[in-house]
Amino acid sequence: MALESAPDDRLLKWSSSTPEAFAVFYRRHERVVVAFLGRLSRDPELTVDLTAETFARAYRARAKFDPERGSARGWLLGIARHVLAASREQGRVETEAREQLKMQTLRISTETLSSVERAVIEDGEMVVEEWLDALPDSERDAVRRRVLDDASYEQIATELACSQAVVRQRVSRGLSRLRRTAMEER
Amino acid sequence: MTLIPELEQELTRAITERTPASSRSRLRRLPMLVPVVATLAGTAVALAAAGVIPLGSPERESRRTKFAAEATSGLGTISPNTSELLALRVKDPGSLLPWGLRVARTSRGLGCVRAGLVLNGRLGALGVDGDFGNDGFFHPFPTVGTPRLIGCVPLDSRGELFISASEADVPTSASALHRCTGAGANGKVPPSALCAGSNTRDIYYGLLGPRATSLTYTSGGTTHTIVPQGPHGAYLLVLPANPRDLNGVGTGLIPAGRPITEVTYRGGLVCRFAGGNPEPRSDCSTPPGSTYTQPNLKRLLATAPLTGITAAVSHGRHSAWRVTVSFGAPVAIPNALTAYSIELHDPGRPRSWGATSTETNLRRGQRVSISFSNLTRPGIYTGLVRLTDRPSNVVGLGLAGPVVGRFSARIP
Repeated sequence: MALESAPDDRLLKWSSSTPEAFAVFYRRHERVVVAFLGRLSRDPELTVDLTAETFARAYRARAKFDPERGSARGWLLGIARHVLAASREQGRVETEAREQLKMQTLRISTETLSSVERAVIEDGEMVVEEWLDALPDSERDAVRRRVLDDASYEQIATELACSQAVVRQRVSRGLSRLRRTAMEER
Repeated sequence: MTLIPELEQELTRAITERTPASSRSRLRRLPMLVPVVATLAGTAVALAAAGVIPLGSPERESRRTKFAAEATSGLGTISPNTSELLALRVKDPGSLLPWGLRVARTSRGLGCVRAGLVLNGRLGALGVDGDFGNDGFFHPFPTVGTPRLIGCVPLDSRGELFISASEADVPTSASALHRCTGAGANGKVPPSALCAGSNTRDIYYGLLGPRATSLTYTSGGTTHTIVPQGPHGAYLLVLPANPRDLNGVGTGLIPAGRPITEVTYRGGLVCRFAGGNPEPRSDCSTPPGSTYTQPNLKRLLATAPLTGITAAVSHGRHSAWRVTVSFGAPVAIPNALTAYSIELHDPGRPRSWGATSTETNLRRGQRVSISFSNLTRPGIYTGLVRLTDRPSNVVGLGLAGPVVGRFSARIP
């Protein structure tokens, strides 16, 4: 029970010598990460893959987490967003961190996929909106359409009745702001 | 319950294998958490001046959730007429309303407790701190449907509920959305100080049972002792949020330690919680006064007919394969306290495995079908089905238990 109530920074610190500490950290934040990635990817199997790489990267970067700079949730969502963005660019989910950890390919049951789907339906919208809360309205709109809906700059510019350059600037500024506030980790 | 148990298990396995055995520490050797004095500088909610709080929509509607309540799966649904608001009230300088507790039982044999603000005999949250559109209304928590994952444990064998729960960074509005958790990232100000116009709380609550006579905790460098209330021995601590004391949520049968240091019971029994765990004496490992009788799974299976287990291979997505394991349930699963767990091992790698469990009620003889997808390694996969129970001191299902049967499947 001591682990269950320990702060995130302690859990990450203890993970080096106490694997159970990272399991507690995982259980504590799994739902938020799954809901976030599920809302963005809209595919339960892909969500599992992205979640696995996100937590593997979090374990790899555990020494860099600083609770004075922000919450572990924001830190994890920052990692998750990078994993998702890279997967969209490359057409596949990166496995680098999992390979470093020598993790094996997961065999996911249909019950698990159902649980993932349910969590995304239940909490996905809320988690993403919380994540975007730090942004001004104009940047939030642009980031939502670009990152959540995967829309092109041209499409967003048409919808928001502004130039592509403005959209690019808003997305860039919005993501920079999120990066600063969430202490994002690549 | 973990959403992706396969991932948690694989992460733990991988991390364990890379951690030298000599450097692995045990729980009892973990450093104690250092409490930090925090000031209870509660800001009264803006509604105080109005004197009247209108009633708003139930909590769930505002969260736009679509989760269908299922009486026979997961935690089950709150059973009719089991929801009870306890008399215990705790004042909070940061909130117009007092905090209270509500208990309920679910259709799958669990007991649950929830904390929130109380208005006119209802438990709920205020529409402040950015929640519910800052409407200032009181939003009752639902008394039907699926309970929250936080705050549910198995009832004891007499149907009594013993539980201890904790939640960090709860806004003084009592919102379950916990918006304050994600705040605070400018590098200097702690998250709790940034939660829009309000402070946050770490709350500790539960039912210690009728034999509990006192609970001692530390806060702000001072030791306090309270008397558990009512026939359930209810307690509720609403303390300034302190990330060094608590982060996240937890549920168990006994208090999780800091800031709770001691609970006394009739007859002179004293349970001390040093470093987060009860001192190693059997009287305190489960709640004094409780009785938990685990089902004898082997005996159950001995009288049950063993029905055939099949494992069918089919094409999955992206050139991967899928194995669907089917079997007839040899014994019924009447509630959340037992389940079947299914393990699958890689060809030639018996130590690698994925596992899942049924999380639904089953009739004896009812056909169960579970699929494992994304299989790519050619060869013979082997697996087994167990009957597992829910240990009395944890919320999740265990993965140990007597083997119901074994199966194998060849991937080309």
